[in-house]
Amino acid sequence: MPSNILEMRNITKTFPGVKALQNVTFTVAEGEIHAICGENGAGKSTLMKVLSGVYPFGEYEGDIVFEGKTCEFSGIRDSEERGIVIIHQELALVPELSIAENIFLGNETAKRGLINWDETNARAAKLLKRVGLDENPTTKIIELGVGKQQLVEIAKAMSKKVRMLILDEPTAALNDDDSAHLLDLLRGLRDEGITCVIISHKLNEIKAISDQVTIIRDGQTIDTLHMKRDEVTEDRIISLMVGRSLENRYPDRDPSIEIGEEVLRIENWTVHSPTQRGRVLIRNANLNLRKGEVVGLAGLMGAGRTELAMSVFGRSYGTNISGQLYKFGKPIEAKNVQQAIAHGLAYATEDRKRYGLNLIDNIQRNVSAAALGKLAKAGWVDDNQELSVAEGFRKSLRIKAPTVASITGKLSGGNQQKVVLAKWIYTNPDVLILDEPTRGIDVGAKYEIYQIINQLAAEGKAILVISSELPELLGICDRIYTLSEGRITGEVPREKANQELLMQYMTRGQE
Amino acid sequence: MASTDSSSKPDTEKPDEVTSEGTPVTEPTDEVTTKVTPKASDAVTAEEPVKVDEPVKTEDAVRTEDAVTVDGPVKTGDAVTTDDAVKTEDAVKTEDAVKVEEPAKVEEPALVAASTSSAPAPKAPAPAPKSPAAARSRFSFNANSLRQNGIYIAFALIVVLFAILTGGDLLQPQNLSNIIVQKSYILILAIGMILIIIAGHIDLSVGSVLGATGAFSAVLMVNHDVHWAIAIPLTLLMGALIGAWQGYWVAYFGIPAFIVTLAGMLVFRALTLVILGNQGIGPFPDTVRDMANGFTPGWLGNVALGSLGGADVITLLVGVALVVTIVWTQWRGRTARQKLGQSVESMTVFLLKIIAPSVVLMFVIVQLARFKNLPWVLLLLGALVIIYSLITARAVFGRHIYAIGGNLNAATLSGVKVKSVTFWLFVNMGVLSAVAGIIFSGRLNLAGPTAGNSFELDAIAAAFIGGAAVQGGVGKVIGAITGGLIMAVIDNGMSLLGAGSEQVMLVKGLVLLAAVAFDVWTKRRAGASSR
Ligand SMILES: Nc1ncnc2c1ncn2[C@@H]1O[C@H](COP(=O)(O)OP(=O)(O)OP(=O)(O)O)[C@@H](O)[C@H]1O
Ligand SMILES: [Mg+2]
Repeated sequence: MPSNILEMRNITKTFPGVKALQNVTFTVAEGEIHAICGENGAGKSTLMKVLSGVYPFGEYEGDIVFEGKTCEFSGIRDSEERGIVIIHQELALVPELSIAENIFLGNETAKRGLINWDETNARAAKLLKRVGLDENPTTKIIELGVGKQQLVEIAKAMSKKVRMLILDEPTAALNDDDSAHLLDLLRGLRDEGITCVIISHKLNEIKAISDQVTIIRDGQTIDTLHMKRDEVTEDRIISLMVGRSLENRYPDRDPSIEIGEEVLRIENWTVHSPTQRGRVLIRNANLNLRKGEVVGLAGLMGAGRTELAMSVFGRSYGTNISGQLYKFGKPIEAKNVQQAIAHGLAYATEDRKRYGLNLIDNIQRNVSAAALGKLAKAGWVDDNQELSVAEGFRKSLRIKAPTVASITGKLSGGNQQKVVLAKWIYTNPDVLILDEPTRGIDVGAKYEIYQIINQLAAEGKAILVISSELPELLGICDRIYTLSEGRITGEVPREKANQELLMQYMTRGQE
Repeated sequence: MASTDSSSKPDTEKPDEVTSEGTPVTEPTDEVTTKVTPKASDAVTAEEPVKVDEPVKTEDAVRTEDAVTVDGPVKTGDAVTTDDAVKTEDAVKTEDAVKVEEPAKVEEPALVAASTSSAPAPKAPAPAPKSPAAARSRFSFNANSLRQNGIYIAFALIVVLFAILTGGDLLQPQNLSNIIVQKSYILILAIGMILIIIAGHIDLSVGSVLGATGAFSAVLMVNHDVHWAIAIPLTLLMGALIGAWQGYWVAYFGIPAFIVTLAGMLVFRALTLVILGNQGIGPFPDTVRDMANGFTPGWLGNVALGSLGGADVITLLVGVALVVTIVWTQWRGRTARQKLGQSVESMTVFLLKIIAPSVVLMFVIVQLARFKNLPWVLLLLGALVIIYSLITARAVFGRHIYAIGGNLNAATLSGVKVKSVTFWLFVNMGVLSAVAGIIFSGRLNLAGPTAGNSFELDAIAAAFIGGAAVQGGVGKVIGAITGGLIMAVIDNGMSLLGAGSEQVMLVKGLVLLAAVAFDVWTKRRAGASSR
């Protein structure tokens, strides 16, 4: 048994009104991959922020012992000096800077105050090679997908002398391929002697990669299991996480619900890139959604799923859009978001921080943001009614917050996602487009979200789910479209669908 | 809106009924010539605060100091105690809540209700468990609410400080009246400015627009003898057009407001000079002067307030009406929340919350009543504050301003008409600048080429001292007014003490820096989680 590289003892961390961590003990062995599991808001990110000095010494109680020495970090710089590097749940890259600039940001290769760009780029290229990212170091971050950005983050971490790498939900935004690549990379790092701590809601990954797993619930350590020795199964992790066992990952659909008439039809939809002239993002896409039906949209990173959805939703992305939308068979125009909402469309974004929430405002005002008109008479908002609507959602979606007056920026990722969902459900749409609705959400909450989706379908709404997790699409959808390089390459009914087939369609027309 | 809750709000908001009080600004001016008040003097144009040397003084000073020392500690004590008390209780409460919610995994009916019924609210959520801790959870104070209330505490402290340093002169009836009237145009500009800052923009041109509109009104009324009832609306229209011009470039053309209004600052100063032909124009008609400078006639005469002397009945009635409205709306809000099953603050805290501002308000009112009745501009200002507070807190338009400032992308994707909201914000700013322009030139009785120079800086400072955030999305009208008043009190108090203008400038600059530093510091304390 190797010695412990890290011991966190009796860590307690309180935010005003919330006790995020209570006497948490967390031990990591040298050279292992250690996973942390727990429901949304359990305190995983908070624990890692304590470890990495984001919450400096004095703002928490308890001891941190790293490599035998008690540590009192006063900031991330301190912890990085000791070799603890954290990659946050929300990527922290500067979009307008190049890959190389981002990697060495705050750590520039400089001589007499002047940056040596050739050397910087050369070193960046070496790091990119190590993480298996085939991009030019001078490419701007903004031009990369999330998967590649994640790799840049890791390259950035490697540029420092890292002893322990902490990854907070690194694969949440990645598709299966990119995730697999990332996990391989982590294995490689472990072989080089770097200890990894990984937070993830994807239990299959945890099972595949980690040596030990620690489960946190409601700010307390529940257990630490040794993967091989303890014969850990996903179900066991789940039951420790949620405090009870969960029989099914996906709720059953009520078979009596009939799929009805066509609600939305998208015809010959073509979208051009707003940044690169002449580049076609979506080409001649045709799809339809029916009443009471849950339709999936599968595709690899960069296939254009989000672009398709956003361009349909009031042309909120892309230029030079052509094609026609039909609602209940009649052609409609949705030239801007207001018109789209008026036509009963709703789009819950994949990037809740950037496009979904007003992070400095409270739950109540975020929930009502897209349907203020429903709460207003002659331009004046009825805030009592608003309060009770928001309260209703807080309870029914089990948003974990003391009151609806809580600021959304301080909620855990999963709870933020629920607020975004509540906002769109409250607009009472006919067509609900959910872009990665369960990204970064724990298994228990996922189940709840699937139930919500089923319920909305049962109410007669048409639902389009975009997801990078194929099992999820297979579990909840009646029909699945595949998108590859901006083209619809397949349409598979539930009965016929399986991962291999979808994967085949998703890569069609490539290479 | 960034405020977490209404519990920390100062209580001057939401009095629906009061708006009518603000309207009679202009009508009865015809009869103004006969003044009932015994103390009326025409020499008030003097910008300096006047030291009152009357036999009453000693007695008065004692009284005011009394009032203030009571007032100060109440305010601070209020926030501090609740802060402490709640921290611990709240932690307990959330733990409770979590445990309670655990077993009840899925509650479909509530969701369906919330999503399908558009008109009536879903059934009031089941009343929260009524543990004493839960009852107080609404009042959870944290760094955030310290940030919101810090400004009022700071204001109280500054007032107390200068009241003591000036031996009570600061709070003399005439001086109080002066503070408000002298800075009214800055406060009016600050109202428009805070809205623009909340939306994440800035307006550097307000001083020049004030100058240009004031000049325009002078040309109309003085050079062309246009009746004020026509000239004033025309001037407001000019303000609106100027605002529309700038709003167009910012909202529809996408040029940063900083640049557009920097250009505007030059352009409209140039326009001022062109309109005036490089000279001051005056004097203004008496009506306009009275509106900017004068006081309501004491329609109902005076009453004797014992040793305090005579006081205007109308002013006192307005004060009482305001206090009643405050109490009533707060009470109504509280009961409404209770009905909805929401927890409310304890009765003691609630009473403190309405009594403290009421006492302060009545004190100011009594002092004003003892001097010369209500200044017209105070009525106007009061009406504007109430209307704009309501708009920011309750109107769809106001909500959209906060949404835009908080997260532009999310607002756009939520169907907020970002461009049109931004456009109208600038139109609004233009109109308010015109209002301030008329008042300012009416007060000086002259529209001069330098009118409004650097007023934009005062208005912007007022907004930031009042708690606006540089990134937008945060701020309150009442905060900006308080910020403006803080600067007014510093100005006035320091000149009472005989300080030179360089000292005043120094102090004001440092106060601005301190206010924003405090804002940043509390934000860090609150542990802005999104790194
Ligand atoms: N800055 C903050 N201020 C107040 N409360 C906070 C803050 N940061 C986190 N919290 C609260 O602490 C708790 C734990 O949050 P944390 O982000 O650690 O959860 P998590 O386990 O990472 O969840 P997720 O899986 O959703 O990312 C939550 O209840 C959250 O609301
Ligand atoms: Mg987290």
